[in-house]
Amino acid sequence: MTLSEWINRKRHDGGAGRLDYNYAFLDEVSKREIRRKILKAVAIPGYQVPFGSRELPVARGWGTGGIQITLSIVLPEDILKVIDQGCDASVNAVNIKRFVNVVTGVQITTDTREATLIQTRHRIPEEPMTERQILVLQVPYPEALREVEPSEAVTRRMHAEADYSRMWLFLYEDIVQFNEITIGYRYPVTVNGRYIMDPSPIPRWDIPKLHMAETLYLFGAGREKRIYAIPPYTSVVPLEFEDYRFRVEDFQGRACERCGATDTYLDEIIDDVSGRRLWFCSDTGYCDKRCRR
Amino acid sequence: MRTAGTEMIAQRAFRRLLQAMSRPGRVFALPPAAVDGRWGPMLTLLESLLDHEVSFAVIGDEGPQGLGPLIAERTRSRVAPPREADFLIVAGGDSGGEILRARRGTLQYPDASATVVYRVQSLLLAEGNGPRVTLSGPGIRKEIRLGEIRGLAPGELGRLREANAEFPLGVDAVFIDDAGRILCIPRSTRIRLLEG
Repeated sequence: MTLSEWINRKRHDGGAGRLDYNYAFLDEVSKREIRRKILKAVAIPGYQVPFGSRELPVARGWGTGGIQITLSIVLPEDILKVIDQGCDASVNAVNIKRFVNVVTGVQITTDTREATLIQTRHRIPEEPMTERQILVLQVPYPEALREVEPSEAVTRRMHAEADYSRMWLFLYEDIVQFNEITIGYRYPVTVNGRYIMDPSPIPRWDIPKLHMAETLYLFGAGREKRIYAIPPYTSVVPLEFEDYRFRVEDFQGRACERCGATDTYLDEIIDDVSGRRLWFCSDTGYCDKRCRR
Repeated sequence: MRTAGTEMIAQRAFRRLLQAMSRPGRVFALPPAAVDGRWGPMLTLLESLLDHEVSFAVIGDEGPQGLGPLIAERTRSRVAPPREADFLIVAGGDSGGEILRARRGTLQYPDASATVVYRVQSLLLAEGNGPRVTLSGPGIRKEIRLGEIRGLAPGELGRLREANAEFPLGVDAVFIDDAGRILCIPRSTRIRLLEG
């Protein structure tokens, strides 16, 4: 038997995914624990639920938190999209979708509108999502207060008491030093008026999409062993002062070099040959769609 | 005994439960039960969540032929006193006030709390005859009027409201009817009991 034959062996009973693993790779006990923690996360928006992160055939820090959530909920009829920094074709995204496809038989897409389940790192797609979709974010550092407090025991107590004064002080000092809030990504938000939460390393551009969204957002940190969530129609407010407001990145005067978009989050690329600064849509699926029009 | 496809049914059941928990007050249908009998839908749901790492208590069970032994056999979950259990299964739609004594978690670990699963006769979308109750909070666009929950003891929603008065402490409730329809009221939901 060749390697590719072995990898592509399908179940005899008509079930989806590979024959020699449980459906969706994880064993049932692991999936049940992750499912219980996902439910708690949804019931307590913004609160980080500890979970027993499992070993996967991917190194921790490469999206294992997101993968474990995806594997615990994915159905064979789902249509899966995986993106990394907005890109469907990066090594991380391609490997994750191939893995999930092999162990579940799920269909793959690059089209945000077509997808029912989207796993992502660093971006929320440009196109608005709907009630029938779930977005799973891979999170490296789930603790929003880690910048101001290194101890987990202390940050947990701060969350328990809703004592966020040091986070506000951090923003204040930032303003004193730079005359504005300089946090570029992992911008802290208040969820449901209670917990301060790290929205993962999405750009500020994507933060407003979290507020009162139609879509369920699930966050998984594999290395840090935390799951948290923002249910649909939940208030998500970035931290700001009345006279120093939260604002998104400014791309005024720029346009995507490929599709010409002026209303998307753009990545700055320096051309190797000419040394010129170029701008491209970070969401490649959306950019491709615009190019095909 | 695990049969082929059990894991798939559990996965499907959980996905619906996740939808229901993230959209409180709305009714969703579980996939057709893997097992026959009156406890089929309940067991399908519990099989997606329970194992030897968690405990459960059944309230209002009907003796040795009832639900408790079935859950223990099918999920390997342990029986515990209602005040300590991770899952409180209310078999007859009336907790007799036990949910007020169930675990609500601690401020540092609000997730160390019980999940309450009510078995009721039927969940109906029709308003009007139902309890005069509106829900609001995460998962609900503005406000939702609760449909009829047939077989739920009067006063039970009031107790749930009391158990969840101190967010983030509280219990998360799942209602499941004999046809396998589910509806959730997590602790983040504000329950408003209307006058009259």
